[in-house]
Amino acid sequence: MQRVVITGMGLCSSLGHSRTQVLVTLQERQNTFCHSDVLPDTVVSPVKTPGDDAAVARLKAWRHRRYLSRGGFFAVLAGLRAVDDAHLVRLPEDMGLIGCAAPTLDFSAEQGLAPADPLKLDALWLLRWLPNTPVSALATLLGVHGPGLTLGCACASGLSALGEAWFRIRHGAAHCLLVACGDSRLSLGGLLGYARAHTLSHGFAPEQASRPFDRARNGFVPGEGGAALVLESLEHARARGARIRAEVLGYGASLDAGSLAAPDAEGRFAQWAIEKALGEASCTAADLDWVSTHGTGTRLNDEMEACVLRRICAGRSRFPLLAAVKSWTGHLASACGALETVVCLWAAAAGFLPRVCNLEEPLAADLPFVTEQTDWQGRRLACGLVENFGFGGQNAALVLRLWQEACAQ
Amino acid sequence: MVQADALHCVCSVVEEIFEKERGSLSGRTLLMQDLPCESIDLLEIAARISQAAGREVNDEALFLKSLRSRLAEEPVSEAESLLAREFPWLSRERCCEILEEVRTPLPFLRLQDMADYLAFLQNRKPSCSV
Repeated sequence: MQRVVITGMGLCSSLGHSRTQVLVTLQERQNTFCHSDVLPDTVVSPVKTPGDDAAVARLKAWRHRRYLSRGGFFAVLAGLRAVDDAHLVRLPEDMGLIGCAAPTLDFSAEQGLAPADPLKLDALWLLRWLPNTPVSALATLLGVHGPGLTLGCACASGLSALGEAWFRIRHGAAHCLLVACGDSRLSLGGLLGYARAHTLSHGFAPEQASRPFDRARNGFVPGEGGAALVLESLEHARARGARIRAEVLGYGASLDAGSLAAPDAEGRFAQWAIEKALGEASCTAADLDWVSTHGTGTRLNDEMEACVLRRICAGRSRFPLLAAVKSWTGHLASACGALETVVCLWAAAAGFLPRVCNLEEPLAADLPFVTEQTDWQGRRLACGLVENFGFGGQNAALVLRLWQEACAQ
Repeated sequence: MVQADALHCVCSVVEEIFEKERGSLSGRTLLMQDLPCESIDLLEIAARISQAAGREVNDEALFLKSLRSRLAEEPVSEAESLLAREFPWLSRERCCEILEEVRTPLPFLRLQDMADYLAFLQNRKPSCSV
């Protein structure tokens, strides 16, 4: 079996668009939240500009970008950035693409949702709604012809895409894959989709609205953006002299087979996914230095997730540090797993993890959340777990290790 | 719809699709030669001209798709009358020009041809563009 490594990462996010920007935002504790323009009293974390780099110029020069939804645009932009970051000067022609992006549900800007006069529809309005359009766009822009796959696993999509890439490379079905994810549901339709389900944070000032694992939490804050990663077999990466960032050690996924929306209250199958990932990685929870939690800020998810983490780590001599990236970016839905993986790997490589914002009264005092008081001196941050639990009871978990040459053995 | 309005409409639509500056295209612009036109662009142009016209346009007619094959089916001596009969929005002068242009395999469709069809469709009378 092949070892699978990450050699490129790219973002388009409210935290910034490069490693440096993201680390500065985290270290300077810059706020990314504001009130929505389209649904008053709702807090969101928007991407205010797509950035100003070669990837943006390349995408803006491609006139067919009009067929990308906003989330699709973010996925493609992140994908171009990840490929740049991987220094893949000549892309393998058989490089495959795995992506996820969801429609924006924008009643006003996206055609075809509300009943419309057919004559007013563009000829190919459907492309903005087809989930595979970003993958096709990336293939066109990059000129690669390997297999393409688009996943729809709700909030577990990003991690599932990474897991699928890991599985294919590990078992020799591919040697180089780009995973690109993007999402945006900050339109009126998108926000109403959540508001009507009473899942959004309410009653807080923007900078206090996303508060995973805090007792006062009452919902999540929608975000938007894209994240992408280049995965290769270790052999392939070495052969081209690639700079290796991290290794993907294991992946696990499961279905609750319960509610179509709420998580299993005890998180039995979320735990199953995590244990599967740890098993594939030949690790135990004691080997984990950190966990990037799903941490949405909804009452149900965080309660369930805290229970799962307690069980996973029960009896272990050390407990991994717990981060909650959504307290910085809001919830990127299908792209959250890829974004949280990139943010945590960049931060961990810089010697810290993002603190959990607005954690004034933790729902569980025994869990070691990252706070302003966390001491980073001499702390080991090599091995981490990223976990996401989506609508439909979709659970996914990924075990990663920062790359050091000592890992090579 | 007068001729000038039709040409303005077609040029505006095509400029938007190809992200060209306003006023940068003219009736003499060759759609398939001067612009990087792909099949999806033809679909989009037809849809947007339909929007502007308030009715579905026939993309076969709009893009003169069958003109070359129809000419190939008829004797050369019948070419002029065939064009006048089946493509009545094209002026006599334009028909003569097209008969010269189709001697090469290069695409010949100009934005003016599309505008003439649009005006014809709206007014239901032969074009007078020259």
